[in-house]
Amino acid sequence: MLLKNFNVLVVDDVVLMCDFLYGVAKKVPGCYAFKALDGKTAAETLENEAIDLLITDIEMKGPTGLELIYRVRSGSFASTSHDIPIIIFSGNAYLELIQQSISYDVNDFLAKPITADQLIRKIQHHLQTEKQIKSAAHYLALNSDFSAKTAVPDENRKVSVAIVRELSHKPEAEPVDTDASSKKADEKDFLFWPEHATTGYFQIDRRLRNFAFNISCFHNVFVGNCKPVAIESERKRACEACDYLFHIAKNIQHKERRHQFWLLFHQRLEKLKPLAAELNSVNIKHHSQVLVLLKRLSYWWMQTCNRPIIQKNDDDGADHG
Amino acid sequence: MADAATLPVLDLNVLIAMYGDDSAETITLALSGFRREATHYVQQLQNAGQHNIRTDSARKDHAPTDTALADMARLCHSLKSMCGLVGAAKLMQLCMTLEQAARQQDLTTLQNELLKLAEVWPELLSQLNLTLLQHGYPDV
Repeated sequence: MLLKNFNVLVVDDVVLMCDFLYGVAKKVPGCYAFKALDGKTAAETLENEAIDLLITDIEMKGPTGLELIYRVRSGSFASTSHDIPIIIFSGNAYLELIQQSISYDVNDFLAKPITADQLIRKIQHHLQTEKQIKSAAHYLALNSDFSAKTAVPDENRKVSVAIVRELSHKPEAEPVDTDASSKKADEKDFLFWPEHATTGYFQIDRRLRNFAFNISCFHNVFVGNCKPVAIESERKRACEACDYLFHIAKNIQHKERRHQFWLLFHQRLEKLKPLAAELNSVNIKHHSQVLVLLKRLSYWWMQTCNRPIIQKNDDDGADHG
Repeated sequence: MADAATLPVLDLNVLIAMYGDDSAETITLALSGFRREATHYVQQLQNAGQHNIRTDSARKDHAPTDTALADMARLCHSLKSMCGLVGAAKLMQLCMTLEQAARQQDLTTLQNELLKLAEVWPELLSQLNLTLLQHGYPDV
């Protein structure tokens, strides 16, 4: 049995509340908790640790909770991914605050007070549920002075490139070819992330799953003879998923002790590098080249997505609480 | 809004429900932490009240700045959260009123409610000390 490891950061400028949140987060199976009493310390933690979930108060001195959220979503922190689940934990639920939170795609808004049991359930839920988060560039483009009250207009959303997308439904991702979308839904995934599989690292699991999903999308539009613009768009997304996998793996590797795992995983990533480079430069008009590349990617996936790198996560009972 | 007079000063059932633990260790840890931190917040609030929030004619030209009121609102907000966590219902209610008054820049309400703090806080402090003593906390 391999337990997933989650890093949860709790931020509240009230010591009693921060200690309460910290104590609760520590109780969640597989969770390692960090705490910060101000935005500055929180930013340092987000910069230096691969945080998987952020729980933050809003009204704090220094960088406020919203500023912190903006920085996470816009990808300002080296070690923390921009699309982690974020839970706001606040005593006040002002409309303006909620609207701003929505524009940053905050996962949940919890009103104080909340019991330890309720909070544990919320943490578990958000660690197991994927939410559609747009690219860091999208959030970066949002008004950085925090005066924007609403989300960006819909036309902007259409052109944004989402790194993490819903696996089942993609409403606006491909406006250029609706036929391709319907075909894709019917087809089986080219690369498949096994249910309950884990590397033991939440962020790497997410990146691998996204990698599989994006490569599958690219494969499906390519073999489906969709319009070149759709194929090109999926190819770019697959490249981004690849880059993000390298980036996250590099950040986590520096701080971890599972030498055997990292040795093997590093070898797999090294094998992926030339494939990623080829994916980045391949001409989609050269069918045979693309097909060979896809085959090699599939082969890489089969070799990687196996023991001992990936194991069955049997701790569902613990994770579900 | 509940009538402050009918609210309990300290409701341990709330604390136990919030922490999900009724052990003496948890109760004393939470209450001693609350007492320490809340004392600091109450002092800051009382100081702010004495120096900034005056509606009498002598201080009319020294109206509190927006920053002073925002700071007060933030102090009340934090104290309110703490009270909610340990079940200090009466002080929580008072903080809620104070926070609203500070945000709405309602100086009259702010001044009147701050006077109540001088009654509510000692009452809560005494209850805290008693509860801590009952649960074997040595430093009361």
